[in-house]
Amino acid sequence: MSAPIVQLSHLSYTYLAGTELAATALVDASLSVSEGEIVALVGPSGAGKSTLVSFVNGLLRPEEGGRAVILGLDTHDPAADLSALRSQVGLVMQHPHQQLFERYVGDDIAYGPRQMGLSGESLRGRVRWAMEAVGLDFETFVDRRTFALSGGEMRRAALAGVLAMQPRILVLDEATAGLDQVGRSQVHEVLHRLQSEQGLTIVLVTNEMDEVVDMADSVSVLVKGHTVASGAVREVLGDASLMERCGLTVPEATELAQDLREHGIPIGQSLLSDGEVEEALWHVLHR
Amino acid sequence: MARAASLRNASLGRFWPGDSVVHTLDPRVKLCSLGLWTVAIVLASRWWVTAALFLLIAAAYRAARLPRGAAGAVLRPVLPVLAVLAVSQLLFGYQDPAMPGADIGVLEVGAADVSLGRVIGAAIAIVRLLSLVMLVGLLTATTSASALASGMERLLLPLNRIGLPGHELALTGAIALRFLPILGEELEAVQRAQLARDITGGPERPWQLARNARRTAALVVPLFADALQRVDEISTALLARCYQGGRGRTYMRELRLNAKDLISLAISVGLLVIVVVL
Amino acid sequence: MPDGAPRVLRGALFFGGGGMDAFISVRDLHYRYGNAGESIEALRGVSLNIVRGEYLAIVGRNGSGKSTLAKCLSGLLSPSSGDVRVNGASTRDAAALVGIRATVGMVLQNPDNQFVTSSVEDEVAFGPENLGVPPAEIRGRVASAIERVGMCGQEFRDPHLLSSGEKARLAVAAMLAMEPQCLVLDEATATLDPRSRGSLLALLTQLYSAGMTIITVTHHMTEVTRAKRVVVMERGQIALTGAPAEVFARDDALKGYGLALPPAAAVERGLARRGLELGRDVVTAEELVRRVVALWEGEG
Repeated sequence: MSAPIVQLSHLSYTYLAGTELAATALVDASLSVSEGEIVALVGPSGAGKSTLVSFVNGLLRPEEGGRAVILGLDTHDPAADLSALRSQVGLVMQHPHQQLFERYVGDDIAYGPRQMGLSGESLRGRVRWAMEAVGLDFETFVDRRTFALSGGEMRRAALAGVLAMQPRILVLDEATAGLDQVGRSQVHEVLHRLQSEQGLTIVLVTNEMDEVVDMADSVSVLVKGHTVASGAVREVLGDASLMERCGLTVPEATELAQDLREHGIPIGQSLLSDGEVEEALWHVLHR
Repeated sequence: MARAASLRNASLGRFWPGDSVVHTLDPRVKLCSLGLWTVAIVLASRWWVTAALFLLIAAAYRAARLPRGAAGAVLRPVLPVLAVLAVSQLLFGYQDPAMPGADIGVLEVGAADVSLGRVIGAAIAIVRLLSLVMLVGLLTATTSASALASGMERLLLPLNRIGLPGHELALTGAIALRFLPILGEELEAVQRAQLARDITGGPERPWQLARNARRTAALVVPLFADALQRVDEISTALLARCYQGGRGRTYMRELRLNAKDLISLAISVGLLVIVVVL
Repeated sequence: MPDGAPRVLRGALFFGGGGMDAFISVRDLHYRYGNAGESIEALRGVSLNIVRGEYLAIVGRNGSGKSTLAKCLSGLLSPSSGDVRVNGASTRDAAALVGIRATVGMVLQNPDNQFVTSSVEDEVAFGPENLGVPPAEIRGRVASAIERVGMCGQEFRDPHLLSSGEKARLAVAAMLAMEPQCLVLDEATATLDPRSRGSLLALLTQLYSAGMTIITVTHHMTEVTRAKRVVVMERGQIALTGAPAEVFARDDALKGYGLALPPAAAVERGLARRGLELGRDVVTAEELVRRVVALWEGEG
């Protein structure tokens, strides 16, 4: 794997520090992402995942003892140009309506690139490209009102708005929560394509273990502001006792494999998907 | 970020549980007393009446046995307003010619002549504002949100009997208050999302009116859309819980006035009468 | 649960239960959103009978009409045409709606937008207060509802500060206090983490065993396997219905409706394609394990 383009180490953060409402979100958190990788960030609710990814696009700067270097930029340095970082790191949030604010879809998607200096034909071209990347037909949607879109269309529009800035890193903060299977696999399809065609690096914050198995190369576990584990998906998710200790559940397929093992069927430890369980069972039963 | 954080923790003031005389008064009595005392403070025309009222409120704090930081917590957010009030009173305040010291000059600020009378006038205005703030603070410090809501509901209930939406009003107010922190979180999320796409950078300059107006508008639209969506869901939820307005509604918590409550109410009414007469 | 003689609370008539006649009957239900010019037909002729004590799952892709159907069943929406009757009372009868909504309690998807008070016990009391239940009885109902969902000791907590799992349970308690005969849950587990989802489902199973009729709208397939009957919605109509084993056996059709299979069924189907038959009716993990072990030990 290439050198990490995101290197967060020993980060701590407290909201409203010094007041009586202070809330510690991070105590000692780290995250390391290599170029072109898809990394999943998981952890129980309230673990601090959203706070941690806020360091990736420079929204938060590290305090003493912490370090955050993204795309070669050290955000601790007071002279660092954080606005430049924001055009390179795109953030997609869980609720698309929080991101869309222009009246027309085309305008909203154009917001980012317009700030970057594009105009006229090149701006239009960029908007068209972004819309096509997410599967929103340009002609049909460019003049639609943002609030007349369906939930799924809004989600795509929000993603397009971020992609239009052509970031090198994409952070999705529980962006598929609440979607049904169809919706989620559509988003995954888009992301996989962007990773393979454009070498996009992706950080996926999620609660769904199946999504981690489908999408991620490696995973990092955050519990109460501490990074307690990180590594290849198979090693981390396949470690049932680790998952238990972190208050997370293993993918359903893994649980199924565990059930089978408990009843004496000799199949492997870290099976993560239905397909893998099927394959393993086939080999065991077909003698 | 700070803007959102303050909205997120917005409430009328912190509640400190306890069992003092003030804590255990019926919330309806406390609410009515709030109204009566407020009118008294506003109407007080003599400086020593204003001072006496302030001391009474301070005494009430003592009676409520609140922890040491409570009064400070109530006052801290208001200090900037107090400062502005003081300055404006000093420079432009009404000069009561009958006030002692009206003709004794103290300062000269440009064309304005600040006399001792004005200084006293400013002091009185500050004490008056302090009294009001402390009064509200006392109410919220000794009354839980549940009790306040019950009190409001019950007070407005008679309106239902004459066909006005009394309970509905109280419920609307309670819901709006409940949702302030949620809207605060929403605002924070919207800010994050927009900041992530805003690369023009640079610190916020208060004089860039157009730009700041645009930024604020960009925050307001999604927030408004979110609030409207919530309103829709809340009203469906109210239907699901068979809400039918105030008429015929019963209450789990029964509020009964006892002697203590009636005496307190009598004191408040008496106070107002005295102030008006004086 | 009210039984026998009808009980009157604030003008709402509660019909007792009893008898095997349909509890909720739906006949050619149509529901249209919007007005004459631009309207969307969310439900296009749904007919269904729900029996007392059932555990029904309603599934389908987003936009298939499942949430709309749930709202029509609980009296939150009145039909554009057709009929929905709960214990004989029609949801088109404005006077009967309060009674229907208390009989068929609907828990909405986002608990945050359902809570209107500042404490757990106030929240649970809100429903019975609206129904005009006498105060002493309200206290009893609140205590029992809180106990049933396992939130004893949390009576004074602020609903908005609870974890998402606790919020879901509070929403259920708030409905239970109105003593419904049926609970309808609209994607109540969608935003929960796997742990909270498990405990909410366990709660539902408990309530079902105690006689409550449960209707869940969900897109979590493993959850569906717990139900006794499944209704698959597609474009405003019922496309498929039957026991989970029957419905999941039609995996070719399910794909067309935007639905996947639960892991156990997916594994069984995969093995069957390779020539190893364990039985098309396998949908739960327990069943799969049982068949595999039988085969394994048979060979051994």
